Amino acid sequence: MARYFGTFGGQYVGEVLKPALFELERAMTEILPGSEFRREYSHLLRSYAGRPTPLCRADNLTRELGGAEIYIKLEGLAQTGAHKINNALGQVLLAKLMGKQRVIAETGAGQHGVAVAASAAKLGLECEVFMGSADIERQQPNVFLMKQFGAEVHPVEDGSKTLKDAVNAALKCWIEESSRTFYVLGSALGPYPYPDLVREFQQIIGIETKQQLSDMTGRLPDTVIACCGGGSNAVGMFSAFLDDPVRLIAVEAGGTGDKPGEHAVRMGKDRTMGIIEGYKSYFLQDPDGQVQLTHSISAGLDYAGIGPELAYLGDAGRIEFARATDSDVLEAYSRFASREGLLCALESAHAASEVLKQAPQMEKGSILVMNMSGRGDKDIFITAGRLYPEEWKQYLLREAAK
Amino acid sequence: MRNIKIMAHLVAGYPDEASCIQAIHALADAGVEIAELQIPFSDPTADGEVITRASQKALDAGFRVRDIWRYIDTAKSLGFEEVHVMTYGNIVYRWGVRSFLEEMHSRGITGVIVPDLPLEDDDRFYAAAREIGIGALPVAVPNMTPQRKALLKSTASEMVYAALRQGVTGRSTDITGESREFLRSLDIPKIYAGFGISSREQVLSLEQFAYAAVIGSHITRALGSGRNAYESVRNAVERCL
Ligand SMILES: Cc1ncc(COP(=O)(O)O)c(C=O)c1O
Repeated sequence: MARYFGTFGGQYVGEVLKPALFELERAMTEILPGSEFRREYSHLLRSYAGRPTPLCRADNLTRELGGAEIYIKLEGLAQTGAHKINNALGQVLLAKLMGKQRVIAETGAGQHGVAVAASAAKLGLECEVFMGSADIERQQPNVFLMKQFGAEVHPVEDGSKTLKDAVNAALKCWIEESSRTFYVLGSALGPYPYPDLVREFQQIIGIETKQQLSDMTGRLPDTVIACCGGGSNAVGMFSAFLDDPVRLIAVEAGGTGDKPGEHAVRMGKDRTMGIIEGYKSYFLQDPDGQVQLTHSISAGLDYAGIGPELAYLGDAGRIEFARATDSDVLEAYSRFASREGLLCALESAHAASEVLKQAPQMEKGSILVMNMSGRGDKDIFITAGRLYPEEWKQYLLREAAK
Repeated sequence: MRNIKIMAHLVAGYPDEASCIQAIHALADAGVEIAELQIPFSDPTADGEVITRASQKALDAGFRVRDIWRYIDTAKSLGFEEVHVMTYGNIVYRWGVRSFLEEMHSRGITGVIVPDLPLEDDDRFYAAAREIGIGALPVAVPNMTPQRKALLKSTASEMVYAALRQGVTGRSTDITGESREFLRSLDIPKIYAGFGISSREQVLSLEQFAYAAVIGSHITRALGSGRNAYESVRNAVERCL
């Protein structure tokens, strides 16, 4: 396996973590292809995670937008509500077969943390999750869920108190103790071999989609759209189509504006390479190389770096990048709910917003596939607060007074 | 007489410029031979809470990377035997690997320590340092395999920073026979050994096994006490001499 995608990726960690990463690489080549892992993993995906997830034809939106036929991959129907479970189950199972007793994870929105906590509960491993205290504030429901699954949640008070700081904290915890501990990284980034490991477990999204679409229509899609934080759902969806004549669009968080701290667009015009959190890729940073603050209405896309494979494919022109602003996202969220009965996670609603832009421009009879990476139940404290501010506030006040 | 040199570490710009400059004076007046100045980085993955928070505080107060020259110039003017600079890969990468090393060399820096640039040297950091003639100290850790130690030795030329235990900076360290055996096994002439050193006993236990004992978080912790920077640092260091 190569450590780089072009010039992106690598293994930029202190010497102290090298043995743990070598051990992981060895486990990937020895345990992953083995029949024990294969059998157990596919059993878990079917009987626990709810795979395969459906590919749903969005008839009402197709009619309304008047262009491409729209199909939506419902990753939100997977256990714990997002694609994150594919990777979490895979890594936790790998940890178990490596003989580890404890898993640790970072989480931003909390979706990865919840998926890891559930997987650890299912497979009988201890679980500790690092989460920025700012994210804990805005994603309380997920903190509650992680605790229900028996995980210990550590608030991280460093830096911006968000996802990047949670990654740092998890890395530091792993530096302290790696012999009985496995670090379950949640997106297609970090030091080699994590980007490969995460793709390995997420590529099922694209493989299933391709088969399902072929069964339904007998053909390939013309365009595939996914939202992009670190990039795990996008890589997972796109990898099955890389060699096909299919347009691939990844949607980043446009936030509230173009200034530093107002968005999380890493793949804009002024892309800057950096070496941060163990890998080389594009990062939002100031001219000194200090990581900049980011903003998105969705906690899961609110991250300064992008996975190395996606950055590489973006530079190579194989993947296009688009962005959706916070207000585009809320509009798409409401429209998908009212027209299709689908409640997108705010992250996925970035992809939904791009669907609203692309579909009308595409020819009738062409096919557009969107990955709905997660469902929106987790965001109700944000979306209800934005869409019905007064009613929601009154409700919260009544609840608090009980 | 102490038979080992002291390398004392400070986070540049912490707790503020004036106090940090005071702290450098305190190190010199206490008789510290070697100064190590850290350029603050927003995401310092090898550092524990004390240095992470100090770095953040310096950045919040407006520290810019090129401000490091003011701290370096102060240290150079005070006659330390060596001045080293520590930071993270991204700072060096954004500066430009080669120009960072050349500029540090021309300002009289003895060695640079960048713990997240790997021994495989994908970005030609160690190779460029050799060409330029500045020391680049890789970090050795106790859990290294013999193969990694061999790679370290070929990368390090003659200087290495040895972490005396696994983990990040900050926690105290028991220096044992095993620690000394680890240092001996590196087989490198100038070893700067640190992590968790805050006492004279620890320093003395490294005599003959290391060229210098590194005092890090202990000093930054003292600077965080809010008391007079010069006095706090001088007291903290003198406990170790
Ligand atoms: C539903 C959902 N989609 C997307 C993401 C973004 O991650 P990635 O880009 O790795 O898919 C997250 C992250 O928390 C998420 O919860």
